[in-house]
Amino acid sequence: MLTKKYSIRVTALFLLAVGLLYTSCEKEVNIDFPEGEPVVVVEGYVENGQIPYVVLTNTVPFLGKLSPDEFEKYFISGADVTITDGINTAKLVEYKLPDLGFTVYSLDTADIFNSAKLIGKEGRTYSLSVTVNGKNYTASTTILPVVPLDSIWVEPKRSDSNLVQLMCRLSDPAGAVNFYRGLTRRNNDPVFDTGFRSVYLDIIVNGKSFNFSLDRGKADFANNDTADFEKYGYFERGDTIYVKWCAIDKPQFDFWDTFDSQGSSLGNPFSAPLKIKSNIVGKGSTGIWASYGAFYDTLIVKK
Amino acid sequence: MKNFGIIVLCCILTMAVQAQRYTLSGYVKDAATGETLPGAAITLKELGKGAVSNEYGFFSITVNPGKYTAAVTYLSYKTQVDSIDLKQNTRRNYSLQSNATVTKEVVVTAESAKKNIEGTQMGTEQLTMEQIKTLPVILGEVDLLKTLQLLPGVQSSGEGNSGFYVRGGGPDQNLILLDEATVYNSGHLFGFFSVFNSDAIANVTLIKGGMPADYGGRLSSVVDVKMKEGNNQRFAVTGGIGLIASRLTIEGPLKKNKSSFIISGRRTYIDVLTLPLRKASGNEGLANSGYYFYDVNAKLNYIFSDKDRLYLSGYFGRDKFKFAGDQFTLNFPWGNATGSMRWNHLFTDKLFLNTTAIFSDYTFELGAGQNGFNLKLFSGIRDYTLKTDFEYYPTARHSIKYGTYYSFHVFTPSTITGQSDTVDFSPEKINKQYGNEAAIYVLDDFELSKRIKINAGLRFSLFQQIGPYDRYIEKGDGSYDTVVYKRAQNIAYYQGLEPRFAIRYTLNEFSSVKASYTRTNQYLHLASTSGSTLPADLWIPSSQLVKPQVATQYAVGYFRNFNKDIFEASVEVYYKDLTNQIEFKEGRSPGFSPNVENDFSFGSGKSYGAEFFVKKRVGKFNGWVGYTHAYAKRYFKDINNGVPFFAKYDRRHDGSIVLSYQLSKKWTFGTVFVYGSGAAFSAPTGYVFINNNAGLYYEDDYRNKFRLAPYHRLDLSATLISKKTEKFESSWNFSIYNVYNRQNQYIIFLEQSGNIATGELQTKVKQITVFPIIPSVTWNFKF
Repeated sequence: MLTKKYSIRVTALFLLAVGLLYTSCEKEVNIDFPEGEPVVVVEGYVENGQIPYVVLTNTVPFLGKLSPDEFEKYFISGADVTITDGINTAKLVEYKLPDLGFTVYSLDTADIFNSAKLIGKEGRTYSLSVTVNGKNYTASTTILPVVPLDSIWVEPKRSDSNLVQLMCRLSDPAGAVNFYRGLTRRNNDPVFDTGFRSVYLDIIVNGKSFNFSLDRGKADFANNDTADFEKYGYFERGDTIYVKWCAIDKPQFDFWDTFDSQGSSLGNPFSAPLKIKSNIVGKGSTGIWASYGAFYDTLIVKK
Repeated sequence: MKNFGIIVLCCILTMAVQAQRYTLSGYVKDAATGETLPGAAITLKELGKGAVSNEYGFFSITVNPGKYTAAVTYLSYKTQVDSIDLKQNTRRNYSLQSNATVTKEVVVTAESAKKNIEGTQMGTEQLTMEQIKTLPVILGEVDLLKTLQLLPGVQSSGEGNSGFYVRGGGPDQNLILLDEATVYNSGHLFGFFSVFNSDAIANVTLIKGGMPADYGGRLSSVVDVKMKEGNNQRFAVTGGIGLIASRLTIEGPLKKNKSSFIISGRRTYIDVLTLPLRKASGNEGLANSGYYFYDVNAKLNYIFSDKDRLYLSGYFGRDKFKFAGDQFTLNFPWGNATGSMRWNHLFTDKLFLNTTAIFSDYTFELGAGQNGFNLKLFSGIRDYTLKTDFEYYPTARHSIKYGTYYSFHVFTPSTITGQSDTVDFSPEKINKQYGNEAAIYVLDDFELSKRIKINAGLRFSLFQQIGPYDRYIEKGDGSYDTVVYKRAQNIAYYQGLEPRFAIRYTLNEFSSVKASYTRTNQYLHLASTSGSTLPADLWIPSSQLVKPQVATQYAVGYFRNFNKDIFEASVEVYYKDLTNQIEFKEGRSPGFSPNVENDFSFGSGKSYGAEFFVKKRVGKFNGWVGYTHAYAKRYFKDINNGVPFFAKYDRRHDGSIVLSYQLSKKWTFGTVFVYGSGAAFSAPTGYVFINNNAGLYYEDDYRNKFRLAPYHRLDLSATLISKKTEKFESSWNFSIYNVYNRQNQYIIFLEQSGNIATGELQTKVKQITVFPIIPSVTWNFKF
């Protein structure tokens, strides 16, 4: 499990090594990237005990500046979205969330009887069908059994006693390959978030009990201008930490793995471009139809 | 096997039935140092026929009895003329005086100058270190691989990088040999410097097309680097102090005229120089970090008798990078080691044998630790090789070579071991791969008529992957079926015939046309995404999934000398067909899969182009102009949605001008101008927003659709010989790299700032230039 953190630092150190020798220069350039046809981006989730939902957007060209208002234009409205677990089928209804500025498709609250049947259940396979402007996109995923964490705790950062690293212990089941996704939420943050790397597989730890670190969400570090990378990954004393630990399947692992690993460098001689591996079927689409076999835990870090 | 024997036998029998003739044979060497001179021409003026010394300086020519005048010529050496009354087999050893030590300028005689138009070889260029050393260099380090990139058909893999592409082939398709040992990673510092220490190298030969049958195992080119043998006349010390590295070489006779040694070392000292700076920074990590590389070349030779010589040579080089921070430590060393033992034996005046035992090793290691979690990652390749080459010179018209090759390869895949506090994640065993590679070959370079000369050869090669090995067959859901192979058990077997054919047709005394057909097999592959030589790149064998790469190359050329052979010119066109090329599968990157062979897609490629070359060989003012117009394409069913795409190695235009001018005995000036089309790269066309995080969207046919801006730069150099006596020589090299400070694009990247969840997201496209204008100075000495 070479974490993303390592690879970021390794890359940084490569550049440091080079930088020690050379005075490399950086400047802005004008390259016209053709916009191409907009592509449908599907982001859908189904989870044990939770209501499934789907967000549809279009790819966004590289504009100089992109504000949330402008981004709103890229949400797809009026699509035909259906999910089925093989027995029950439901057409999802579009909800506009003006506060959050986006559109989400979810179960119809007016039809509680049918909708309740499609709340996520472990072991079931959920198929998604999306039709936008006459074009159909499909995906299918199964909620795998939860593999709970044995325990969670924190360890202080050596050089800054106010910061703590979240640690977890997992007993990985022997046999088949397991794939996991780890998310955390801090205090009153609205959503669960992940570190720069969000998925794990058990190839080298198969069937073992072991400790590993889970990073604080990267949202606070997403702004390069203000981020303090010395603090990246650490929680603070006094924080309430919510952990969400999910069993996922291989297509989902591949999606998050490629999504997380994409660098922002083009023409970088040190790496090849990494195309997102989507589990959505249909030309002109990308994205993820995700299923979580989720386990939750909470920890309050002492002051 | 049987056929091969018959061919050899037939050749030998045909020669035997001819009339009584005598052989003139011997060695050609440098008078001052005793170094042998490969490629020297020995011409019998009366017959207009001659021989060329082989790579050990040996020549042999068999002709009718008679009185002859033999001219022995070698570029930038004084020609030696010898009268011979050939009444019996005669041995003559020639010691030539270097032009540098001769007071008046010597005009090289026409004979050796005709090599360009008279030889059968195409796409072949030999450079001596003396020629390379007067050219501008970056940061004071003379680099032969970077000089080779200035030749047509050879493209640099990136700014300041020693990695290169030949005629649209990948960097793994170049056979880089150091005294016959394969060098698997030719770069220091992520490729910015080559592993070849200029003080220890005698010469380099590049073959980019029409590869003769004695070479094999790679598709695109051969870079054959020969280390110096060491002065067997007197002790000498050479050295240099440069901007980033220093060199020291000691050589001398162990027994005069019989035996000599050379040992040469080089080390960078940027880590030492920056230490106070790093300490002053107050950053613990920076203070404990450092990078350096060093290498050592050593060679020993012993002349037992006129018939037997022994050479021992070795190379050892390491790059070391260390970072020790607060919670994070990193330590990685990598490098090559090679060793070769060669035995030359003369059975008769006409039959020369060379047997070589070779060891070659490349290892990469990375150790990292964070929060009590320690990781170690390592990979590598190791070869044990034995090869035998016979050279047989039956008559003046034939030069026959045949031999065998065997290599045992051990491949260590990217292996990761780790421990977290008390738990150990080390794999139970390292899943190494083992391979047997073998070949036999025969070739004859012969004159069919005055006008037609042919080099025909056949190579038969085979490769076998053998156990022990655990093969993991992917089931598609992330799990695997395991097949366990026992020790020495056959896992995969491949073989192939590789015909090689080259023909020269002389039009007149100053021009000829040549054509060649070459088929080459390659059983080793480099798993790389970088298109360059990076330390962690992995060599893998052909296996059940990975089939051998095969290339077929056709080339035609027109060769012409001008102005009494002072100018050489050529135009060559080539077409190359490549099969079983490998690339990482879409969405997969080098990682730690149990069997890396599962990670590849397979496809084909083709490349074609035209190369133009004009060279002024001799005189105070010399150099060359080269231009290549080329295409390199790839087709993979599973990559780029099945749409053919341009290879990373595709460069439409690539040209260079290399000039050197000797103003006086003290001053020599050099200049290099390079122009190349921008490298191809893949770019996304938009953002994919998932949960407020921006991913990048690549179109279905996204591969290498974009081009970096054209690359060009001008370098200048001046070499001042400040002192030169019999006993001591001191010189200064002043170089300016990228004189007009062209901001060549090295990397293009998207810089994002802000965040869509909390405000504006800004995107800028930026470029990084690694080498702006860089002046440097190096002091070299010799005593």
